Amino acid sequence: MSFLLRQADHVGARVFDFFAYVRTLFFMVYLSLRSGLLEQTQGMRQVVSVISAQIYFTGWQGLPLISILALATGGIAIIQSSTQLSLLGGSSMVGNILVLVIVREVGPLLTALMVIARSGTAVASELGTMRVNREIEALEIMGIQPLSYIVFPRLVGGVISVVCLSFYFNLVALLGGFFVSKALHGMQLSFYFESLANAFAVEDVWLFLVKSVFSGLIIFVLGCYQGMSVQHSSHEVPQVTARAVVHSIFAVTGFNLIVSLLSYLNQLVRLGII
Amino acid sequence: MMERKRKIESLGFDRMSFGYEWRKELLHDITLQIPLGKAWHVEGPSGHGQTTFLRVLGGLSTPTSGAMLINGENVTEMSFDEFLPYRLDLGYTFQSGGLLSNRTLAENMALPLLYHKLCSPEEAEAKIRAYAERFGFLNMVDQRPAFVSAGLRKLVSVLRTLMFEPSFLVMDDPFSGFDQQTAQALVKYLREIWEDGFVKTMVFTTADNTYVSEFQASILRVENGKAYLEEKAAA
Repeated sequence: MSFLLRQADHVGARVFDFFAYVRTLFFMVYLSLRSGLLEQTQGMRQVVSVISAQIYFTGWQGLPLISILALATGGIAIIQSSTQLSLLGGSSMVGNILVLVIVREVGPLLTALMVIARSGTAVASELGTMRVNREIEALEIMGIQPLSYIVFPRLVGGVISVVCLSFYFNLVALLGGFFVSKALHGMQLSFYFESLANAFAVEDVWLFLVKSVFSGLIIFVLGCYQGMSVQHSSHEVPQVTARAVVHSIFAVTGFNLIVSLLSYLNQLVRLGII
Repeated sequence: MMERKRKIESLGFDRMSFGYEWRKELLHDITLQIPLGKAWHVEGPSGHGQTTFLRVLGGLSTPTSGAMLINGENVTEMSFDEFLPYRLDLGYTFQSGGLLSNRTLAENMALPLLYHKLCSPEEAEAKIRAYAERFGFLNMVDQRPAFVSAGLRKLVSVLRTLMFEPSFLVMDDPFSGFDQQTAQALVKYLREIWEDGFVKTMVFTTADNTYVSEFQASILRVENGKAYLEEKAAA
């Protein structure tokens, strides 16, 4: 009995820890947005320069990798779907498949995973190293609020980058899909775009935006939080970086899954199935 | 921004204690008023919390209990923004580190001036140039900290604090890590601004008593968790 109680105690403590962690992350977002937007009377130019640097690193420098990934994904999606669809005589459905798979699901998720690998790790290790080198404390003694100078620009730059990269991913994947369709089935550009245009709905845009914005926020909040949690020594830096990656992957895939599930349930409700 | 700086007219502690997770109450129940207009040399045996005392004094560490009082106000309970006007009059220099590694030396020195709009970018550049010429690192100002010597990094870190023109200066071992010439140049400059009166109170640690007598510093002893003043100037 006491063993069971101990186990229950352990599980309960983990659940409380989890909620405390989530609450701290929300609090960090709130404080950094507040200090960045409302109390930012000084140094907006300096903050904008940090935002630009973040967009350059995450967005611009991520373009080559995203391009390759998107072209490959678009090509693979179209090869698999068009083969099956032409067997069933449903070639006109190619747009629906691409919108469902690329725009709604794979685009935002793969972009987010790529950003975790490149920038989530970079932010966590950069901030961790800054803590060890007393750069964060130096900002404080200069009267510069780290939340507004360090965290806020990374959140803003990160979210902008993820949204733009996801959009770019979709664009390149759909173009890649077209080139593969053309090569395999001689598909006309007008037919391809008509099929895509018929498949697009406002809901797709919303889903894309919600997934991209919140994935970006999750990645950079976790990266910043883990980086800032370094206390004293450089051996903590790789530990927090690994933690930031693992937590980000769980959080982003979980979030994408929940949003897709809610969207699916919404469709079932609209169709009167449930 | 200058008008947002609030002059420090009194500074002290009321039953202040501070400890770390691994060492509870390194400083214990300290009640002390630091007389302004003097130089204070923080002395005491190693490991008794001199640097910690300076960190609390510089507003970098928050007391675990008790209060730090500036102009009679309990600043311990203030938010970052509430404390900012006092912070701008309270300079702190690190024993090591403190420069932003992704900025050049010039950008590091300019950051607080531009962030707080203390001067225009042109004025900041001229000011940095003047400092760099005086201390002989003009050809290095566009280098990042990783590409210069540890001594120069420390010098820039100290100068960045002095550019604020704080009236209350807290310095953790400011004269170590330099060659003799640079250390002398820094002492000379500190003496100038001390005599000019823009720095009114100086609290520092150093292992070299030459610098203590240079500023005719009195002793502020930190020992066994307590801090107390010994008005007599150090030898």
